[in-house]
Amino acid sequence: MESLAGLFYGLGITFQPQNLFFCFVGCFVGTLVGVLPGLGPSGALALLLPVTFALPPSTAIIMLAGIYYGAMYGGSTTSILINIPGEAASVVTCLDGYQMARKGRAGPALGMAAIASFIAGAISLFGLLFLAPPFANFALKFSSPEYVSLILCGLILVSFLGSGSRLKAFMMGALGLLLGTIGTDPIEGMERFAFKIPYLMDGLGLIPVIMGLFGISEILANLEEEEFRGILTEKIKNLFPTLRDWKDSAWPIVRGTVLGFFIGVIPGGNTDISSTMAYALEKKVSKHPQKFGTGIIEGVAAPESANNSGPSGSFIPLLSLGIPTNSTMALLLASLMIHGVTPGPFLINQNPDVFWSVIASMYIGNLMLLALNLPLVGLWVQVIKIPYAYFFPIIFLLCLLGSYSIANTVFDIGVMILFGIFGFLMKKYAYESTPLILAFILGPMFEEHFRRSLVLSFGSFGIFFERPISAAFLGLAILLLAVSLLGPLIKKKQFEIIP
Amino acid sequence: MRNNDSVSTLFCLCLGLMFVGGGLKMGLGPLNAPGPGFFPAVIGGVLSSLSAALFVTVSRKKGPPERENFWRQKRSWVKVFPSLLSLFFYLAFLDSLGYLLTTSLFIFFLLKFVGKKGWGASILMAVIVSLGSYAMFRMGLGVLLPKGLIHL
Repeated sequence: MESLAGLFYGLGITFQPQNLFFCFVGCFVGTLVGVLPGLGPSGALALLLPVTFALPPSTAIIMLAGIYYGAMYGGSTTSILINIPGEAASVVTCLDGYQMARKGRAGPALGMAAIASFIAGAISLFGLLFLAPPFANFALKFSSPEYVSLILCGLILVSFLGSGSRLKAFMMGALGLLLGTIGTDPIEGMERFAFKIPYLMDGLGLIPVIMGLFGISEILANLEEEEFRGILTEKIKNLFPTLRDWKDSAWPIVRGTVLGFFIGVIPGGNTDISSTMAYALEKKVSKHPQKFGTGIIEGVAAPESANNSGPSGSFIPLLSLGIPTNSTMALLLASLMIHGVTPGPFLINQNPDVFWSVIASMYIGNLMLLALNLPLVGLWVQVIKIPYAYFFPIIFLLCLLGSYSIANTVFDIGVMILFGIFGFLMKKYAYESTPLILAFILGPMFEEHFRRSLVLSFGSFGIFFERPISAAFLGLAILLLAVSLLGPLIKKKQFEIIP
Repeated sequence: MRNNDSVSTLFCLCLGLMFVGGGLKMGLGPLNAPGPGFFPAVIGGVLSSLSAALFVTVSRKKGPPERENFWRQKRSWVKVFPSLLSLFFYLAFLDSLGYLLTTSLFIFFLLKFVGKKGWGASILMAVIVSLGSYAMFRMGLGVLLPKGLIHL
C-alpha cells in the first residue's frame, strides 16, 4: 500500500508540465542515441549531464533516466533495418530481426520490438515499485564494513560477468580504484598524486573521464569502419504483429522480462548480458531451436524484453543502496550527488519526491516511447540514412562542450582527450572500461568506509567477517575470485587427464 | 594479441608500482588508523601483481607470437590521426581564438578532410553548427564560452 501511495505521489510530480516535457526530451534523445551507432546511453548521459545543472533534481533524473531506457528502444531499429546494433544491448536483436526484415517482415519485427519493450518495461516497474522500499529498509542495517564488502563484491562481480579476460577486467578495476585516489585524501585532506596541479586537487572529473572513455574512444573506433551503405529501402508496413506472432512471443516476453530484471539488479548485469542470456534461454527451451537466426519473432521479443526490464532492476540498488551496477547508473548517481541528493536507504524519507517521481516517470516514459517508436518509426529510418560523416563532428563537439562547461577550463578537455586515447587503446588491447569506471566512481566511497572500518575495529580485519551481512558479501566475492582464478586451471587439468 | 598483451601488462605493472611507491612515500600509517598512502599502496600492489601474472601467462604461451594488425583496416589511421590532431587543436586554441572561430575551423576540418565532404557543405555545416551550438549553450543554457577574436 505504501508503494502504491508513493506511486500516485510520484505521478503527481511527473505530470507537472516541466517534468512531462523533460521526460519526453529524455525519451526522444534516448531513442536518437539508440538509433545512432557510436554513442551509447553512457556517453549521451555524460553529454547531457551539464544541461541538467539548472534543473531541479527530480526533473534532471527524470530526463536522464528517459535517455537510458529510451536508448534500449532505439537500438533495435538499426539492428532490424541495417543489421548494425545502435547500442550494445541490441546486438542479439540483429540475429533474427534483420532476417525478418529481409523476408519483408521489418514492420512486425519493429512493432514487436517496441511493444515487447513496453510490456517488459511496464511489468518490471512493478518489481522496482515493490522491491525498492524493502531493499532500502534492509540497507538501513548497513554500516561501513557492509559497504566495503558490498562494493568489493560488486566490483568483482562486474569483472566476473564481463565478456573478455577476467584478469584484465580485475586489472581495470584496480586501476579505476587507483584513479579515484588522485586528488585530496578524503580523511586527512592531504594532496595525493595531484603533482601540485590545482585542477587535480579535486580529482579527475567524472564527466571528462566518461566522455573520453565512452564518447571519444567510441567515435575513433567507429571511424575505422567503412561507412555503412545498406539500409533496406522497402516501405515498412504492418507494424502490428499478427495473432500468431503474439502467440509465439508471449512466453519469451515473460521470461525475458523476469531474466532482464534480475540481471539488472546485480552489479555488472548490463543490458547486453541480459539480452544475450534471454536469447540463449529461448533457444534452449524452444521446440524448434534450429529456426533461431533465420528470422523468427521470438528472437526479437525475448532480447528486447530483457534489455528493457534491465533498467528497472538497475534502479533498485542505485536508489535503495546508493550503489550503481553499471556505468549508466554511475552517471545517474553522479547527477544525483551534483544536485545534493544522496541515494541510499535514506532517500525515500529525505527526498521522496526524487524517489517516487523517477519510478512514476518511467511508466509515462514507456508510453511516450511506444508512441515514438511505432508511428514515428519512419522518422528514425530517415535519421539512419544520414551519413555518419555528418554526425561524428557534432558528437565530438558535444563531448568538448560538455567537458568544458563543467568548470570552464580547457584542462577538462585535455583530460577527456587523454582518456579518449586511453579508451581507444583499451579497445585495441581488449580491456573493458566498465570495471574501470565503476571502480573509479565507487573508489573514494570504498576507501573511506574501509579506513573507517579499520578505525572501528582497532586495525582488525575480522570486522568484515564477524558481521553476517558483510561476511555473506565477502564470501560471495571470494567464491567468484576462486572460480575466476582456479576455473581455467581445473579445465586445463581436465584436458590433460582426458585428452 | 600476445605482443599487445605484453606491452599493456608492462604498462600496468609500471603504473601499479608507481602508485605503490607514491603510497609508501605518503605513509601507510598504523592499521588502526590507515594513512593516505595505505589504499594506493595496497591497490597498486594488487594491480602490479595482476599485471605480472598476466605477463607471465602471456609469455608462457608456446609457438611464435601472432602477428596482428593494430588497425582494423589498412588505412584506418588516415581518419583517426587527423581527428585526434583536430581535438588537440581545439584544446590548444579554444581560449585564444575563441569558441566561434575554433569550432568553425574544427567542424570544417573534420567534415572536409576526414569525412570527405565537399567545400560548400563543409563550410555551411561549420557555420551552422558553431552558431547553433553557441546559441544553445551560451544563450540557452548560460554556459560561458571563450570570446577570443569574435565577440558576440
